[in-house]
Order: sequence, then C-alpha cells, then structure tokens
Amino acid sequence: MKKILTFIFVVLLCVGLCLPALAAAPTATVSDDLRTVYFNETEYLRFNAEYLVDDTRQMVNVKLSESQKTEIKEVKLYSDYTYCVIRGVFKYADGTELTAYYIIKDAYSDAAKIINGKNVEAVINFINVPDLTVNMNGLKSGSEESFLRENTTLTFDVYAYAANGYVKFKIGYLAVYKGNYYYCDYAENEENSGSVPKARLVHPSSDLYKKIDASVNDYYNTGFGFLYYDDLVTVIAIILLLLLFIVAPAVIAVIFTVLAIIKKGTYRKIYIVIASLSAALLIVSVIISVII
Amino acid sequence: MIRKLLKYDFKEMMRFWLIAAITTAVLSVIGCGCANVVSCYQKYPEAIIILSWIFLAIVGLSYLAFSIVAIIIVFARFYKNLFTDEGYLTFTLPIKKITVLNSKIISGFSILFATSAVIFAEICLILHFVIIGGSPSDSSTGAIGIRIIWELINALVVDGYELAFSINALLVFLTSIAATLFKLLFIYVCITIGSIVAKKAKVAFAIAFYYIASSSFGTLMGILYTMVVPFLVERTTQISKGAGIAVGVLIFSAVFLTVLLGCAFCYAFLNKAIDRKLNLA
Amino acid sequence: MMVLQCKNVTKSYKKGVPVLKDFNLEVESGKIIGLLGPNGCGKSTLIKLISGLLQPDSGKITVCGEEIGEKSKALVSYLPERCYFSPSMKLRELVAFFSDFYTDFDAARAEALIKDLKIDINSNLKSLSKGTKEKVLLIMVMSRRARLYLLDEPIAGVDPAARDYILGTIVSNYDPEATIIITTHLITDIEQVLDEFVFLSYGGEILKTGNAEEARNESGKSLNELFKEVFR
Repeated sequence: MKKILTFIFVVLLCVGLCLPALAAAPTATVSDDLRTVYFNETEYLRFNAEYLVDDTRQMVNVKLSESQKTEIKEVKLYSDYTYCVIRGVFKYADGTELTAYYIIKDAYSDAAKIINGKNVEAVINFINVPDLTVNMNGLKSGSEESFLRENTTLTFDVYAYAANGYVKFKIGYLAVYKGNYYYCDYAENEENSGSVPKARLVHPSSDLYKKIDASVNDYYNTGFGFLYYDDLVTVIAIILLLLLFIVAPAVIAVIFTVLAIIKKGTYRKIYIVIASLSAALLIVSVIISVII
Repeated sequence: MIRKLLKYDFKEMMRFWLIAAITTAVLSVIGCGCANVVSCYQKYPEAIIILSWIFLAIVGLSYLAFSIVAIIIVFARFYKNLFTDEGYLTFTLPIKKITVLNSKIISGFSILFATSAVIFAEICLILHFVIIGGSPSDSSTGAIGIRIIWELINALVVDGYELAFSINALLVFLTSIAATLFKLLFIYVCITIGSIVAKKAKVAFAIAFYYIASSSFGTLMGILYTMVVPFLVERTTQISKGAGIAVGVLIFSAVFLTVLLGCAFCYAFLNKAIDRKLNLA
Repeated sequence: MMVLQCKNVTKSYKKGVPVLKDFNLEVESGKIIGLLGPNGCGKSTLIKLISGLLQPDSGKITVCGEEIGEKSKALVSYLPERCYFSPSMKLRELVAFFSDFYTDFDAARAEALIKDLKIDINSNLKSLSKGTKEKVLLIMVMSRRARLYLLDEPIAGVDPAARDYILGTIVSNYDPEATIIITTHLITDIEQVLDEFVFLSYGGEILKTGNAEEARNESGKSLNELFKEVFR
C-alpha cells in the first residue's frame, strides 16, 4: 500500500513539474485591436496591420489604417517561389500603382519559410519612405511625376521572422513606377536611423538593373552557387557535407573493398556489405550534389 | 542451431517482457475509459475528469517505463549471456560465435520492435475512445481512433506529390526500423567495450560510454543539422519541381543508407571483438 | 590416435608478456592427464584455448584433427572453475538445454545421476548449495560422450566428501576411448586417478611429463612430492 501511494505521489510530482515547462513555450499573440504584435517581449509591428500567414503560396493580405487608406487602396504582399522574391503592389487612391520587389539576400531559408508560412509571420512594417523622386528627367520632389506627396508617412519595409526570433532584413528593393525602375539599396541606411533612403533610377538596359534582375532571377543558380556565398557557416556546412557524404563513403568503400579481397570467411561477407553500402551512399550523394 | 539459441533467448526475455506488456495493456484498457471521460467532460463531475487526466498521465509514464524495461531486458540478456560466467557455456556450445551474435541481435531487435508496436497499438486503442464533438452515438463526429492519425498523414500530402510522399514515407519507415537496429547494435557495442576495456564495474562503464557516445553523437548531429539544413533548403528551392522531388527522395535514401552503414560497422566491430578480444575472467 | 595437438601455440594478454610461448603438446586418446603447475603458469589459458574461449596469437590447436571451432566444440566437454548456468533455470530445463545443443548428451544418465544426489529435477539452480551446483555441473559435463574432457580445477573449494564423489563420477562415467585433462593444485587427491601428468611452468614450458605410475615407481615419491621438488 505504501509503495503504491509513493508511486502515485512521484507520478503526480513529475506531472506537476512538467506543466510549467509546457506553459512557458514562447507564443506570438495578437492584441485585441490588432495594433501591435508581440513576439515574446519584443514589439515589432508599429502600425495597424493584420496579417495572415498562409501555408501555401497565397497572398498575404494586409489591412491598413484609415489614414493610410486615403493614400493607398490596397496592399498585397506575395512571394514568388521561383525567384524567392517578395513583391508588393501598392495601389493608391488615385489609381497609381507602385510595384516593389523585395530581394531577400542570404535568406532563402527564411524566404522559403515565408513562402511556406511555417513558423514565420510576414509583417509589413512601415517606417521610412524611400525617396523615389529622382527620375531620368531629373524632376524634383513635388513635381507631378512624383508619386509621393508631402507628409507622406507611407513606406515599406519587410521583416521576415523565424519562430526563434531571428530576423532577416531585406537589403534592397526594386520599385517599378509608371514603367520606370527605381532601385533602393536599403543596406546603405542603418535600421531605424530616421533617414530616408534614396532611390536611384535605373534603366532596364543598365548594368545595375541587369544585376538586380539577375539577382532576382538566378542569383543563386549561376555555376557552383555556393562559391558566391560569403556566409562562413554555410561554407563550413558544405565542407562537412562533402566530407561526410562523399569523401568518407569513398574512402570507406575503397578500404573495405581491399579488406574484402584480402580476408576470408565471415569477415569477407561483412566487409563486402560495408563496401557496398558506402558505394551506394557515395552514388546517392553525388547524384544529389549534381542535381542541386 | 540459431533457432535453438533464439528459443532460449526469447524464453528468458519474455518472462519479464510479458509482465510489462500485460501491465501496460491493462492500464491502456482502463485508459480508454479515461480518454472517453475527458473528451466528454460535460457529462462528468470535475473530480472524475481530474482523476482521468491523472490516470492518463500514469498510462503515458507506463509506456515510457515499458520502453526502458525492454531496453534493460535486452541489455541484461546480452551482457549476462556473453560476458559473465554464463559466457563459458555460451561460447563452448558447438556453434559459431557469429551465430551467437546473430541470435542476440534477432532476439533483441524483436523485443524492441515488439515494444514499439505494442505501445503504438495501445495509443491507437486509447485514441479510438476519444470523442471529438457530438456524442458517441453521433457517427459523424464520433470516436476518432486511427482516423486522426490517417488525417494527419493525409494533411501532409500535397496534391501532385503523392508518389514522392509514398516513397519518402516508406523510406522513413525503413529508416526508423534501421535506426532501432542501430540503437540495439550500439548498445551491444557499448556493453562489449565496457566488458573488454573495464576491469571492474563493467556495466557502469558500458552505460557511461553509451551516454557519452550518444550525447556526443547527438550534439554533432544537431550542429550538422543546424548548419546543413538551411543550406539544403536554399538549394532545393532553386531547382525545378521534378528535381526537387528527386532530391527529396535521394536525401531520405542517403539517410537510410547512412543508418544501415552504421549498423554494418557496429556488427563488424561486435564480430571482431567477440571473436578476438573477449577474455572471460 | 592423437586427440589433442598443440603446435607452437603462443598467447599473451599483455603485449610482450606471453602466458604461453611456442607451446607444444600432443595427447593420445584414452588417458586421464593431470595438467599441473603453479598459479599463473598458463593452465587455465591452455584449457580455454582448447575449448575455444580464447584465440591463440599464433600456432595451431587441433582436437581429433579439427581446428578449434564449431566441430571441435562438439568433441570437447568443458568444466570451468565457475558455475556457468543461469540461476533462473530449472534442472529439467538445463538437461533439455544440453540435449538440444549436444548430440552426444545422455539425458537419461544425467537425470539418473541427479536423482542419485537426491535433488528434485524441477528445482531451481539458485536454490542449490555451492557444492551441489558443482556436482550438477560435473554431471552435465560427464554425461556427454565427448572425445576430450577438460576439467579446470574440478575439486577446488569443495569438501573432502564431495571431492570423492567428483573423482568417483569422473572415473565411473569416463569413456575409455576418451581423454580427460584435469588441472588442479590438489595433486594428492587427484594423482591416484591420473594416467599421465604434465608439469607446466611459466610461459608454458613443460618441465616434466610422463606416466604417473612409472614416475612414482622410479622416484619412489608421490606426484605431489615430485611437484614440490620440480617447482622449488
């Protein structure tokens, strides 16, 4: 009887200890008026927006506040799987349409997460407006060619979040307005510096545009893509993969083939199996590396 | 001869395994009632619901205990039969040493696999008594049983990817079986190393070696996973759909082959160690 | 016919420290041979090598022409120093076990000998005393119709009455065609059953060997006295 009671007590104690751990799992919550979103204790969203995470490649709809609606009718944010670019279309009240491309460099994993909608929330954060007043004809701000009015508070910035709170920033965007391409290198500006990023007008035939276009289309598909990576972790990952799944199986296959030839009896059979499995793994790994 | 060895191995191991299996089965049967209670909570008083939750927690713990008992049974049989005084009998039987090893592997794997299967079946049985919405008599929202598992699996299948999913699911299943075999062989390797290397406290040495080796291996795999998976995802998002499917299948195949290779290495080591290095004191 | 041949057998546990070095021995069938020597001279190591528990570093051992392996183990019946049965087994199960694995095992004889000891065949091994376990162990080993019996310290740690029983069992169940090799320190008790003897020294060096009766007649001393003389 005593043992049974002791056992029940121990079980209840274990269950009781586990419950707080379960309760402490991080969650993202949305406040009642959808004004702010908190991820743990950090506030990320700064204005009224409602976002929907979609686990297929569907449009993520963003609702705007009343004041923004006077300027913009509709903002849609969606991702292009092939190019790993997020494209936003801003429709103004007067019918003007601004298309902005968000090139997310070194964030393919995050882009994929955004695309797949898993554990990631794509948030529109309007902070600083890019100054897109420069055009080929050198028209100044305030001219009728400028699509930005004075005191415009509209801007766009895209933060991609992973569930662990790791944030990737966009580094540049390409905007298309009335057939002209404008490129803004956000990396020139510090985060929340308060300064307004400048946009450069680029011609479709210009090298800059081609570079941007190439980067959108097949930035990571040129040749041995990994050579363009400057991320040390990724390089180490590639080396590890090569060592573990190509070099090691090749060495093992050769050594155990030789041993299988030398040895007799049971050992020979075992060595043949090891050599065969290593060779099969090597072949599969080589095929994978060729495809990707 | 291996059949005779297996007969005695199973006879020895089943004595304790059956007791543990029957205990979890009995608890699961009672757990079915508790599952029914907690899912139809409106009908029952709070005290009954709380007790039912507690009992379900006990059932869950019993599954964990059953898994541990199975591992201990396998561990004890291998160690006692090969590395203690019983080894004098085992290794002087008119059979090859590799037959002894094979018998231990087959019997050990069968016990581990049977344990997983029994636990899985008992969980499905309990799930069968969970009611979602409606009342038990309402066939449209009645007991979910294995239906929920099937629906979860179906939700994973993306249209147009059914064949790839089926192949990958098969590979995952085969890999999990191979992983069970690898775990068994690795336990045997640790016991063998403990018995050969340590002069005293061989079991403690074997257990310590197991935990150190598996923690190190797990950490290494974790680091590799963290570094490599984002890279692989990035690469696979740039290729065509067909190529992506092929890469997915090939990656699962590579994992399966790696686990099999691990099993082969462990088997080779055990064979060599038992044949050449074992010296019963 | 040679039932056992050891040719240049070397075995070390530590590198550079051989327990047996270039050991050579030939044993004919139909003899009871005492393998006698001080502690650590390699007696048990040799027995384990012949029974297949250990592998020699070099050299060759054959039993009835068969190299140590599956076939030689079927010809050898080994009695180790310690009890090697699973304590959870019943005697009946033990007899069944031996019948299963050894085609030359005489289950009826084993059961008869167990009955003579007044032990219940359905009793658990763990319920038996140490001395009784030793006797049961010997019964199982001697109930086989093996070509070579290896008895490692069969009478060590047992009372004089049990020693007599053990020696009596050995002699009465011994097949005249078979060979028995006995290792022991208790030479006085065992020498009357020995046909031949081997004095083994460190490194497996054979210091003296021969017929036990002839050695006693020539020297006028018992084997025990001869042993003390050789290993002084």
